[in-house]
Amino acid sequence: MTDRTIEHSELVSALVDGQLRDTEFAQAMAYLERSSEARQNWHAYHVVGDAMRTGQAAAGAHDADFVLRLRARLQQESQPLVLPEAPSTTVALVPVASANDRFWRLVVGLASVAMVGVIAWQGFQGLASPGPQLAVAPSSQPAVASLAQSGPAPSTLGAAPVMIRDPQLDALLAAHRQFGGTSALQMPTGFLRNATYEEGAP
Amino acid sequence: MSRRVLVLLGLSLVLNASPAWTQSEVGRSTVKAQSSRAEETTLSRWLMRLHDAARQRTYVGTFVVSAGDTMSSSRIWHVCDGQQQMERIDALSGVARTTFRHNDRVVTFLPERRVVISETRESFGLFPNLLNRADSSIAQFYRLQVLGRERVAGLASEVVQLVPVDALRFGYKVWTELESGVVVKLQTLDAAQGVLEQAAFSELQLGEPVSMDRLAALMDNTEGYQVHKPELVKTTAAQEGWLFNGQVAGFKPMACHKRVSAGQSEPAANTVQWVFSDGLASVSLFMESFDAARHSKMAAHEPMAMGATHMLTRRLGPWWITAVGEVPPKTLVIFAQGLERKK
Repeated sequence: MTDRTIEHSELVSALVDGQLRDTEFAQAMAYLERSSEARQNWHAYHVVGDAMRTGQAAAGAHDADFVLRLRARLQQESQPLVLPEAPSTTVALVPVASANDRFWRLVVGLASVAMVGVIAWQGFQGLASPGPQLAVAPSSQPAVASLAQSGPAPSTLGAAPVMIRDPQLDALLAAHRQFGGTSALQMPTGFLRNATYEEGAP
Repeated sequence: MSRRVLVLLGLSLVLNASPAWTQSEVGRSTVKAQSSRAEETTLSRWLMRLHDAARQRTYVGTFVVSAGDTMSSSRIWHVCDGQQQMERIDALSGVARTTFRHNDRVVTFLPERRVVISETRESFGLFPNLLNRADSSIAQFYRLQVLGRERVAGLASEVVQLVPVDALRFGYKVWTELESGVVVKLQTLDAAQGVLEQAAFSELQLGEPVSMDRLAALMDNTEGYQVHKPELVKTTAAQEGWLFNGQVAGFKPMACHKRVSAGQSEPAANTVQWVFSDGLASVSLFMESFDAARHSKMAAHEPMAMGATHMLTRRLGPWWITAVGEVPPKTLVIFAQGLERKK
């Protein structure tokens, strides 16, 4: 075993123990990436560590293969927006695994990208919904866009009734209430209704 | 009236299968009459009873209105002595305001703005005449159905439904207190029987003493307030150069006004308001000059809704038309399209 190999093995060991930061951490990761020997060491150190802590080898030999397969799958599915469930998966798994495990770092990394993606998407939708900005959103409906331009207040359209909050329209509504109340139901109830119901500025 | 008498009255009403308002001088003779005529009489009698209840009963209550996704409530004092009617409505939600009504005179106090809006609503006097008119269309366009009895605000009440005969108007479901005929709940229903709007007493004390003099004193005490009177001129649509060329069954022109000057939160000066009604629902057509600055941002769009009230705007050459009413959107479309400029 050369000095260099020893040095590298110590690097992996330190990584297993969670002692590496910044440049050293990056170096260790780069080394793990290019050396299959290093990856075997990585796995072996974990098995040794588990055996020392628990008295038995908790991790089976097939674990390394499983990790490899999972990693391959993750690389195939590495588009951030198709991993909306990643955050909860991470929360469930991270406490079980060693925190500096490269694989889990990959998962966490992907998850955070996914999270950022989700938040950005929600943020985009949030920004797009009120007011005329909706007109530039690719999926906006023409009716909604025209309505959004009609008044300064946020409006909704669809099954729910549209609330009109435009001073000019409010004024006409109030005038309709005042002088358009030619209903037989006006006298007992209509008047009470109109005085109770707020039409914006009376 | 003692409690015992009330109980007896209530009992007799419960025992009688037919509604309270069909019992009296007209009695069962209407049953033998021609059926359409009988229906008309029944509906008219029912409406008259509603109207009389408001003129003869004194009450205090809490009133709740829900339209669309908003809900408003108010405290109400209502007093009358057979001749004079007086009412006070304190809004419990939204902008603080108190509305007083003395017959057809209405005064609204807006304490935050220190403004009082004083107006006369002549439409209030219209009702009995509206009903007695030979061409009264209410019975022609609505059928009255007695649905049964329900309790509202702790009071036994009779439920009737006014079913529209066509899709040009909405239906109504009305709960009246069994003994007095006071309306305790009113719903506006769309064609699918969905509730568009509801107004109801959540609590009501009938016969509660209310001092008319005290209400009158409060109503006239406008000290420290700026009194504002909207200036309106009575006019006719023809005189203003407007003609309605459409056909909306049952709706007749009722009044036409022109606003002389525009105040804060009022329609623009020279806006003409032409009101149509079928006796229960009303539609206002507002005609004003098209103003690019004010109207261009309101490009003509789909009808808008607020509870049962719908609204539609349309540009007609140099004019800007707004149709507002408690009617389905398609009725407003007919109104907006039927309007023509004569000169």
